[in-house]
Amino acid sequence: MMDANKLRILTESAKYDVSCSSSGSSKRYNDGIGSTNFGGICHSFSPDGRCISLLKIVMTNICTYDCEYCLNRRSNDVERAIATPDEICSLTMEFYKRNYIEGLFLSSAVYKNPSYTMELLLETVIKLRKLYNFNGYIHLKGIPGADNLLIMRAGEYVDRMSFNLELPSEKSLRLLAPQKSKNAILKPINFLSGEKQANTSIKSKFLPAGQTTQMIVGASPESDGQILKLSSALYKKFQLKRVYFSSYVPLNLKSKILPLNYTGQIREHRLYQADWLMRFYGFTASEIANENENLPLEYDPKCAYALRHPELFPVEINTAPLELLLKIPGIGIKSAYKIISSRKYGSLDFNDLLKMKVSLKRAVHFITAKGKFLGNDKQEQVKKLLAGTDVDLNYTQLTMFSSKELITSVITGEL
Amino acid sequence: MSIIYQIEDSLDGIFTAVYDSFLYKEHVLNVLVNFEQLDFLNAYRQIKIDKNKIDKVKNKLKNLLYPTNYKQIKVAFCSGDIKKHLIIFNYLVKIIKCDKDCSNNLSDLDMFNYDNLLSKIRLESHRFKGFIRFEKSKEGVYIAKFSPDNDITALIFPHFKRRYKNMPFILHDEKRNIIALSNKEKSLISYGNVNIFTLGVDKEFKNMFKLYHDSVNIKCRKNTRLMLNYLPKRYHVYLPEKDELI
Repeated sequence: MMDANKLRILTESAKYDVSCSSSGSSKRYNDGIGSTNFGGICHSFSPDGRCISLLKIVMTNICTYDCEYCLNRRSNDVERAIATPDEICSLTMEFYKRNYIEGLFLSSAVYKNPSYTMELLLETVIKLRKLYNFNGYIHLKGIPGADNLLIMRAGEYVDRMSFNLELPSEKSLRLLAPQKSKNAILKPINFLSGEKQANTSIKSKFLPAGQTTQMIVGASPESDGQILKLSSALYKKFQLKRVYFSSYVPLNLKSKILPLNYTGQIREHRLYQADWLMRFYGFTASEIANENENLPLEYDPKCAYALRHPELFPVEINTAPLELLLKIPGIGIKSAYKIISSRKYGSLDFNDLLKMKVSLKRAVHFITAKGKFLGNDKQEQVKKLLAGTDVDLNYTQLTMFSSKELITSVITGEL
Repeated sequence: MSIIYQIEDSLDGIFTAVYDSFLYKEHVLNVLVNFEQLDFLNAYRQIKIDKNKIDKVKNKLKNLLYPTNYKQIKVAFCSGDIKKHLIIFNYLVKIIKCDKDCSNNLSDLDMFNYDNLLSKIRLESHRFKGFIRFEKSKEGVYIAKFSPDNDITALIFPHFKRRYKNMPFILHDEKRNIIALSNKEKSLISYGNVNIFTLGVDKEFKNMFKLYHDSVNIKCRKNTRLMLNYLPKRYHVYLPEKDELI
């Protein structure tokens, strides 16, 4: 059984991998323990608000690479540990039986060389499926540079695989992670997506939950527009299920190339909002932000889109098609479907929308109901309202004393 | 004429009440369960369960509602809401009055309330698929205690049966004293209590999970409000990792 100290070291190293989803897999029909749920299940939430759904652990944090942003880089002096496949398997089973987790998220630092590490990961996964008869969810991090045959075999046993893109451009990758290259990362992603497309039959159990990837935002100077364009290309070209963004946290304070400050959660949040707009709301990357543009931090990307396109609004909710309803700020997929299904029984007014609990805070400036408009039609004021700052808030309370020096002199008792 | 109905605490009671409201052509103000306190300003009618009436209402609803919506009536009755009888009653009466399945018309308050009732149950049963925690007893049985707002034991039991096919386990709803038992051969749900002493037996893995929960947390991104949104405080009682709150 794994001891507590080892568990702490190995899970602390895995916590910066953001992916936590356990959804989108298909059922396995055999006699073992466990099942997967199509919608995914969260089992707990850590104090930072992220869900705990999988046992996120690395095989080892002993790394041969020296990536600038990483806590486990070779040149860092941190506690190191390595787990055996059996330790990880038995811990997963015991946690799973107590309903603590939905499955296993297994990653690893590059130990000895990529293929050797991949072999270790593969051994663990095969043991868990065959020896421990585990049918739950397994998410495996692939090691770029490992042999294709190993990657392909792993795809047959796990639900989801992911290769981290790490940084949004090749230039930054060369600067911050010199041992990694864009080609070496994209090659296995391309290989797996081709392999999955070849296995399209319903019975195929090859990577049922597809592939994802992750990149760090804020460690390098790329703009949001560039990042969104890249992720949209990844969705289209490789049929990725998700692209995760992780806002940069300064872990290696000695580094001279990296920024010293946190990127902040708000930028990450806006990127995810934009990502959702691309995947579920029918927006394209260029509609959300131009290539060299950052997303506005004060309001969400959908509001920004609506403000840039005054010609589309206001929208009459009783006649607008679904695609247009989805472009209204503040109206999500649920609300749009509520409106579509209810307006069959009679036309809706603002009162009906309120009764249906459709949020009107932002939407009110962009819709009409039965021809009535209740919002504000001056764009400058709408902008301020959307950003949550009132027009009057520009005025601040005057102090008794006109200058800073006066204040200090009051405090010191000179005045 | 406005009147208040007193019914038996069951779906059959509601079905009979629906029939009687059409029979007597009455405007029903409220539907109360038999043991609830009455005031003396209103008129009351005691609704007696009648098999014939129930069948008629059921047949009518079966013809009107989509099969999925018809099945949902049973789920709605699992709600822990004190007004559930009235909400379901209003929904059924409205459906029969409309003479078609207008469950989607959410701008109608009766439909909205009913939909809300259902989505609360769905949300809670989805949450408890994750928030249930088993403890292994000395005998090797996995026991989970929980007290949900709605009566969801029967709704989540199939999920755990599928998941732990060969493992003996017990779900115990402490609020309603309902237990669901399952092992390799058999499974059943009944009223009862679990008297197996589990305290401190399974400490090792509880501590391991608590350690995992703490070490996976990124301290500089602390966001208690978000965490409590997803995992409200009333659920913390049964979670080993939330022993002491931040």
